[in-house]
Amino acid sequence: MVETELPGQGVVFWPVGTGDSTTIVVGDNLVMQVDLRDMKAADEDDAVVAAVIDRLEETLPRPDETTPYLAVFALTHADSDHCCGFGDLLESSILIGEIWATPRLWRELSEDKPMCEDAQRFQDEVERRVDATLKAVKDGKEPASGNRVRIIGYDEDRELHSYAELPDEYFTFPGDVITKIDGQDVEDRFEAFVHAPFKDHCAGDRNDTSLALQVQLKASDGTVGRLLFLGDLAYPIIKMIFENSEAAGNADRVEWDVLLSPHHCSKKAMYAEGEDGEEELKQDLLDLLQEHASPDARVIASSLPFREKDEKGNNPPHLLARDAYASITDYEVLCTGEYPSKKEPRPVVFALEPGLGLELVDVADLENKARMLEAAGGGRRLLAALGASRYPAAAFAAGAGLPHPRGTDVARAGVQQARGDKAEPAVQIGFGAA
Amino acid sequence: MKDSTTLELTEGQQLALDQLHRIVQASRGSVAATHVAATADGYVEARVSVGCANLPPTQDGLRLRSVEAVTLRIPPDFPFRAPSVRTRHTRFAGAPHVNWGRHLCLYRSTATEWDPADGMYGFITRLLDWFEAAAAGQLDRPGEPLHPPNALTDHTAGLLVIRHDAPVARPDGPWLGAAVLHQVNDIRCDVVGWLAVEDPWPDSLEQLRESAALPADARAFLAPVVVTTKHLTFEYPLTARELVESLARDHITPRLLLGLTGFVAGHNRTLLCPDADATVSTGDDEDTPAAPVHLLLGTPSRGIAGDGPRRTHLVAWHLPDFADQVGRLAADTAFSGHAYLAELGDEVVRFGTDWLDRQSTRWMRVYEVRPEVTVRRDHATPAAWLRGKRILVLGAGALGAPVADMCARAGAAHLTVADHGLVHPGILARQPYTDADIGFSKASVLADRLNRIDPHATHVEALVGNVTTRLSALDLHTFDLIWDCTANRIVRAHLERARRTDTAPWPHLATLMIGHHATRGIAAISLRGATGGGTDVLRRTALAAHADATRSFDDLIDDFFPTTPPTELFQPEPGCSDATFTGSAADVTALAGQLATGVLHALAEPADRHTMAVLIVRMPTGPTGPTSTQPSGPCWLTWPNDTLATDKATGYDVRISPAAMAEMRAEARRGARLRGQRVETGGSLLGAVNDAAGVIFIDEATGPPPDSLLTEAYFQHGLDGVSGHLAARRTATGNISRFLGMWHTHPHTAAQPSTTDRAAMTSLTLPLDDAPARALILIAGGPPPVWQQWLTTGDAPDLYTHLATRTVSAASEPLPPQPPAHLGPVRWWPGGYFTRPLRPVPVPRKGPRS
Repeated sequence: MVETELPGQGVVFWPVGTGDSTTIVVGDNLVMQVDLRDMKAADEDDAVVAAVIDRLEETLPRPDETTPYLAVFALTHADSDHCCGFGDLLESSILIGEIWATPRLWRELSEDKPMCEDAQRFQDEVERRVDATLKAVKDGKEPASGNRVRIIGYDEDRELHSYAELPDEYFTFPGDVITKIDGQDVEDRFEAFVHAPFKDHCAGDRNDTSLALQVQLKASDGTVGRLLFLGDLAYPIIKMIFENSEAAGNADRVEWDVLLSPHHCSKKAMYAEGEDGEEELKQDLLDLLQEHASPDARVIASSLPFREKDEKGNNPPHLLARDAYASITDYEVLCTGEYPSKKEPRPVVFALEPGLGLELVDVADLENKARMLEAAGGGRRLLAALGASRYPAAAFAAGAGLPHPRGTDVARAGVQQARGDKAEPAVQIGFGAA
Repeated sequence: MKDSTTLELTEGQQLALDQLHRIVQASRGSVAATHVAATADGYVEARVSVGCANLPPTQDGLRLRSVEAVTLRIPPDFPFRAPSVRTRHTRFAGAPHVNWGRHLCLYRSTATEWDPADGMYGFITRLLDWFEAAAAGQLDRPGEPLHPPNALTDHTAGLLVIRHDAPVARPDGPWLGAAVLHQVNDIRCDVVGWLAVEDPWPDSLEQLRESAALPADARAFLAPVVVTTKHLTFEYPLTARELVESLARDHITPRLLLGLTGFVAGHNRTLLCPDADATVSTGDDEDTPAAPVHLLLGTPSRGIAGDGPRRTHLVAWHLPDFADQVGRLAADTAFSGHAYLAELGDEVVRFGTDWLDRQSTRWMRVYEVRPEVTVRRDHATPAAWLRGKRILVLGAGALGAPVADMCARAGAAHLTVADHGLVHPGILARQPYTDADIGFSKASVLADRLNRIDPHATHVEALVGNVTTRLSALDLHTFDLIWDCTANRIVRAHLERARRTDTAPWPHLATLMIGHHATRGIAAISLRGATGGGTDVLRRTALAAHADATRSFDDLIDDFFPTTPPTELFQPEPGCSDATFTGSAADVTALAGQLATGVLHALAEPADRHTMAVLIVRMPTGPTGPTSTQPSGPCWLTWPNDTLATDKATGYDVRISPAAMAEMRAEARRGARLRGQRVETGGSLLGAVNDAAGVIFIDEATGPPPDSLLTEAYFQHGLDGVSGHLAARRTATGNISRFLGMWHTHPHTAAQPSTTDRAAMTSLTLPLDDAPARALILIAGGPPPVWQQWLTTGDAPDLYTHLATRTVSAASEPLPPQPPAHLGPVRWWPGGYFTRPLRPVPVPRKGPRS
């Protein structure tokens, strides 16, 4: 029996080199994008990366039959590895219903800090939406889809900027829950709990002002899948998120089934200077992470493949971080640049399976389903279509056929090869103490 | 995988990780190993994930993730101990072969299934097997026994042996009641019965013992029992609180538990302390429970999967003595039925519940002997025939003692062991007795020991004394099988005679013997209804051995049937001790086992028509050693029943072998064809007379010698070649088959001696030099239908036999070449191959012989 349908809810982590680009399929035509890294020049890092915008344009739902519709775009922070290609997204045919932004860019603009072009385009778009929303509000109307904006977090300099004039309902602060997407109440299947940015860090390093969310996807049978997005936050603030949540009785809001490892699997999530000034492992954070992880929890490293070893000055991903995550979960850390192989990475797709939770969908299974759904001309094809994306580098790879599922048959063959003999060992002799 | 060199590893753990590493390298992402860490108890834990994306979900299977992660615990003494596997999640809880919700059970018995040499390779293969079976819903294939839910037992909590099939809960509610416990010793109790609360309960200890068929001095008491309707999902909890909570899901409240415990505790007082007067009892009496409190808990989770309803799985929770008191208090108040006690009862139950909550669950060890959930280890073997049977073992020595032991272990219902001997030091070398037994009766000592094997199933009796004289004390017909392990010719002859003179069919009889050096054994089998007993079967074995043209039984003849008695007798002790064989405990046990299995096989699957058999086994030493040309291995010979007649003179059995009958019939048919329907024919009989057993064995018959006279009214046995033939047969059979007498036919007339026959009997006309003093006269005849039936189909004719004694000295004169004159002129035929009659005989000149 092969199920041709994938569940209608899930999440896709795109292989985009060392950067974040995550698509959350909420169901009922609602799709959310958290960060974006779409590099037209796919060889920029000599990396095999996904043309995310093209794939979104092809596969997003078209409620009006013509326009691809992205319900929400949320930007954790304005670094290039999180917003690269946003300009292209704006110029594409895709309609972005609502944008979630932090106040950070207003501060940076006023402080005249350098930012990449895509960050500038993002800020321009957010400001356009603030204006449009203010106008609509003035006219006593709701802003239209395409003009909506939500400001997440608090900055002490807010009064200097026009967004401060938005009514309260357009603001969300740490400790709040978002259950509306582009004006639609989706509480029955989606909740986003805001952990950060904290007011206290609004003037700090840009990474420290990252948006941090726990997203809960809820299936119709009550099964919940919990995703934790921590942007590029590092040890002190992550620890604070856990401690604050526990103190406020929100421990369930830091529980996680899938963790997008902060800062592309940077060791800064759990390594920090100790009292002697030397970098040391912060076991307290690992303990917190482990305590709130579900038994089948998985960690995603959205990055290039891991190097052979960490060296001083290397950017993420760090093997130290990978080993630390491995020590608190039962599964290996999934690196988007290595899954299923470094040569031909594919999107990492988790589907929300009723009764089971977020479940990694095998690449071969995805491809099968995508083909079947394409042939059937419908059904819940979004996850499959997104997941079955293949990339130029892979397309040129010789004999790039259907990937083989990771299964017990392959494992069995592996055992035999490792044993060095096809033959099974000798049959049982004797009966022991029976 | 984390670099394992930073860990303190034993050599074995390093090997395990190396092997695991190789598997990961070779399995293209389908096996991954992540975190490796040492634990405080010296184990190394490795997290391994296995791709399961190729396993389609099934209706009955476990729902697996596309990748499944487990933690391997690698012991320090790997590979001499298998690793274990657990999961972090409890998604597999409740599935077969999952213990405590997290531990996957990959091996039923590592002693046989775990191959240290294959190490991690075999282990990961097992893990893959497990996942594949789990996904397919085949962790328990139909017909395979279910893995019992595991309850971690506490060895100090005691031991329970469950003997009787357990009750099951009704669909609408739990089964409540008591188990009848037989306290065997300080730590062990046997469950020998069940009482539902709605059943009438015994009023006294005597009644209780009687109901459970316990001996009069048995210590017995009751234990409260709850059998739930539903499986407890989280196995058997470690704390009483968890247990009570999981029971509450099946509507078994602490109130009910306390009430039942108290009710049973109260009943135990009635049974065990009948004299204690409740009204004047002292506080001490009140505090001391009449019996330990074992709470039995049954869940519907055991049996054969996919085949009928599941059986009850049982565990037992040993409760502190205080449970007795608080339970009784609860029963007396909350369950008293008195309204004024209800409030107090609630208080007691509340207090009792709090108390229960604080207890740990001390699970008793439970051993299952219940027929419904166990299969005997010997169930598909020949020994299964013995179960429930009544067995008599004659002789309690080198063969008898092990055979009796085998019968007891196989579950024979009754066993009588008979021997007149006493244990003496010499036999300890090979018979299962001990120094302390010296001077005691072998039969008694053996019976005592065998009675302890399974007192619930097997009752063993000793019969001390001479077997031949004491046998009459037994009603042999009540037995199903008699083993004659005496190796005693007297006993054998006695049995042969007793068996012959008994009108009712005897039980199966097996006669066992060992050769002079315990290198060979023989079992002679006479099934119920066989014409011959042990003596007979051994005799025909000897004949068959001598007759074998390939000489493959020569070793057997030398050992068991020598033509000259062995001159070197083995007499181990000084004086006039019985001669015996040389052999070790290993030798005699091996032979006893092989012979017993053979006999039981023959009983369980009797060969068609063949009622007598002999099994010959040879040990892998001596004559059948690696360099020997002697045949090895077991060898069977079988025989159908003989044709039986009764000798008119002595009342002896006349047993005519099928070969002899066939020869007589062939000659009768030839005569009918050549000489006419009514011409008599006859010849000699070879065999032996056994006066002790009262049996006349007819082994062979021959046709008429050429100088015989054959007429319609008379048969005269010729002499040509007879002496030579008899001598040859005598030699060929090792003296076993000798001249026995003569046969002739009375075609179409009664098988009765004519006047001539009668006259001839006393003189025994055959003038052989060594003619015996007695000879058998056999007449085959019968009215036309009987006679014709014999000739055409081989059904036995009417037979007349008479063992005649010579009263006249052997005649020295030669036989007359003609029929007696008083018969008048008749047409006569010679014997041999003449195809035409001779002339009618004229009246002789001489007078007739008389």
